[in-house]
Amino acid sequence: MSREILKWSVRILVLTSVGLCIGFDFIRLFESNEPSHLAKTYHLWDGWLTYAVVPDRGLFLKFDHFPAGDAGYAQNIYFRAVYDLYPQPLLATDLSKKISNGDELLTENQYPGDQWLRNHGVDSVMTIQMDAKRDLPVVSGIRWLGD
Amino acid sequence: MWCVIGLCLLVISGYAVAAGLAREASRLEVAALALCMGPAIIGFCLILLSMLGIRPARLEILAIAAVFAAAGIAVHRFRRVKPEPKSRSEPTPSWWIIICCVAIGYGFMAVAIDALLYPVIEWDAFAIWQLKAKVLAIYPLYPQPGYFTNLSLSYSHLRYPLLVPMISAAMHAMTGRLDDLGKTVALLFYPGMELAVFAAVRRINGNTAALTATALLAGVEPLCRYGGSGTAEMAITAFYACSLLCILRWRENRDRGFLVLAAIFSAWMAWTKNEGLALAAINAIVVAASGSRARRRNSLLAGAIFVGIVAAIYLPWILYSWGLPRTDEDYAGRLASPQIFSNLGRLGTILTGFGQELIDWEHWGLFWIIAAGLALAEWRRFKNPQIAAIGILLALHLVAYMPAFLITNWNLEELMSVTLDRLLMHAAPAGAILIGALWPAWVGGTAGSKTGISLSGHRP
Repeated sequence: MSREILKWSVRILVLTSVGLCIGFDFIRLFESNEPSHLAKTYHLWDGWLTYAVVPDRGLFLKFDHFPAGDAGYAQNIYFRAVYDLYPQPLLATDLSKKISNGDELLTENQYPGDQWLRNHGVDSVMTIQMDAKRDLPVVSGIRWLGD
Repeated sequence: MWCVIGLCLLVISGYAVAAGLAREASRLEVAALALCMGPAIIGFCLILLSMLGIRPARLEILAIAAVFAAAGIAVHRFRRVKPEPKSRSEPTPSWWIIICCVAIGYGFMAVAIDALLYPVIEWDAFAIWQLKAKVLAIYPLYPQPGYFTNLSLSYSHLRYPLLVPMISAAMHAMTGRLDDLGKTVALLFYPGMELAVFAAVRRINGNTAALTATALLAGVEPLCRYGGSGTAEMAITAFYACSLLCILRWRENRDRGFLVLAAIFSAWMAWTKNEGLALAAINAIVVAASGSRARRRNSLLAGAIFVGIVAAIYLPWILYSWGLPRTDEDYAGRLASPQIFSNLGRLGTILTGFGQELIDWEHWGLFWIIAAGLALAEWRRFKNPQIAAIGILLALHLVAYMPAFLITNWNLEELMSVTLDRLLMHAAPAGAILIGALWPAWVGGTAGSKTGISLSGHRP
C-alpha cells in the first residue's frame, strides 16, 4: 500500500513538472505571444532601417539626447541594424572604438561628419530619440547625404 | 525545398561518421548520433574550405555530402546491427507512454515554431550567431574578412568559435538567400539530443525510465525558448548529450569507436562556445579516471587519445584566432588572471543565483528538484560506476560555469539573470540521464532489479 502511494507520488511529481514546463511555455508562445510581439517590433525597425539605407551603401545611427538609463534600447537597435543591413556598413562610431554594450555605444556615438561617412561607404543618417511620453525609442529623422 | 534537402544531406553525412565509428551502437543510438554529427561534420568541412579561401556554396555542400553518402552506403552494407538488450521490466503503462509522448511532441513543436515561423528575434541570435552566419556566407575566412578586426562589432564576440554560424551559413548557401532558415538545423539537434538521452537511459534503466527522463527534459522552458531561436545553445546541448552517451557506452564496452565519437563531440562543443572547452576538459578527466585500478593505465591512455583528438580538431581555430583582437569580453584570457581570486567574495551571490535558478519552476518545472530528490533517495546507487560517472559529470559541469561569473566585467546579478537558464540548459541532458539512471525499480526502472543492464561499467 505504502509502495503504491509512493509510486503515485513520484508519478504526480513528474506530471506536475511536465505540466508546469509546458504550461509556462504555452503561455509564452500562445497567450502572451512573446515571440509574435517581438517579431512585430523588430519588423517595424527592420522596415525603417531598410527604408533609410541607399542600395549598396551604409547607414549611420545617431542617438540624440539619449538618456544613459535607456542605453539598452540603443544597444538593441544598433545590434539589430548591424544584423539587418550586413554586409552594408552600419556605423554608430569610429570603427576603431570598441562597442560591447549600450553604455559604450552612447559614449562613443559622435557624429563624424558627412565627408568621413561618405568615405566609409555611408550615404544616410538616421537620428533616433527617446519618446518621453511612450518611453520608447523613435526615429526622429532620416537624412540622405547625396553627392 | 533546398532547406529540406540541406537537412537531409546533413543527416546522411552524420550517419556515415556515427555508424562507421560506433559499430556496436543500436539503431536508436546511431540515429541520435547521426542527427547531431551531420551538421557539425559538414560545418567543420566548410570551415576548413573557408580557411582555404572557398566560401560555402551549394555545389560544395552537395559534393561533401556525396562523399559522406558513399561512405555511409559502405558502412551500412558491412554493418552488423546489434539488437537492443531486452529488459524484463514491467511494461510501461500506455497512459504513461501517451503523456510522455505528448511532452516530447510539445517540445519539438515549440522548437519547430521558433525555427520555422518566426524571424531571428532572440537578442543573442541576431547580435552574435546569425550575424556571424551572414559574414561566413558572404566572405571566406581567407583572406580574413574585416568583421574579425572591427572593434565596433566586438559585442558580437569576435573570437567566438564558428561552428554554429557556419552550419547556418551552409543553410544560407543551400537556400541561396540570407534568410531566417539558418535556424532550421535545430530540427535535427533537438530530436538528436532527446534520442541521445533516451538511448543512454534505456541501456542503464529500461524503457519507462528512459521515456520519463526524456519527457521531463523535453518541455523545459529554456530548451523550448532557445532551441529554435538561432543561438548556439541547442547545438552545444545536443553535442553534450551525444558526448555523454558515447562516454557511457565506452565505459560499458570499451569500444574505441565510442571513445573517438565522444572526443569528436567534445571537440564540436569547443568549436561551438568557449564553455565547450571546459566541458570537453571535464569529459577528458572522466574518461581518464574511468575504471578500476587495474584498468587505470588503459583509462589514462584513453584520456590521452581523447585529448589528442579534441586538440587536433580544435587546432585550426586556435591558429586562426591567434591574432584576433581581445576585448574585455575575452573570458578565456581573464580566467588565467589573479582577478579570479580577488573576486572570491562573489561566490555567495553566484551560489545563491544557481540555487534560485535550479528551483525556478517557470523555467524548469520540478526537473532539478526531482534530480536532487532522486540523488538523495537513491544515494546508494552512486556506488555503481556508470551512475557515479553521470553524477560527477553533472557536478563538475555546474562547478565549471562558476569561474566565468567570478571574473566578469558585467553587473553580476544582471548577467546571471540573463544567462543562468541557458547555462543550466547545457547541463540538462546530464540531469535527465541522472534522473533516468536513478529512476526507482518500483516505478518502472530496471537497474535496481536483477534485470538491469549495463550496470557494471565493465565489459562482461
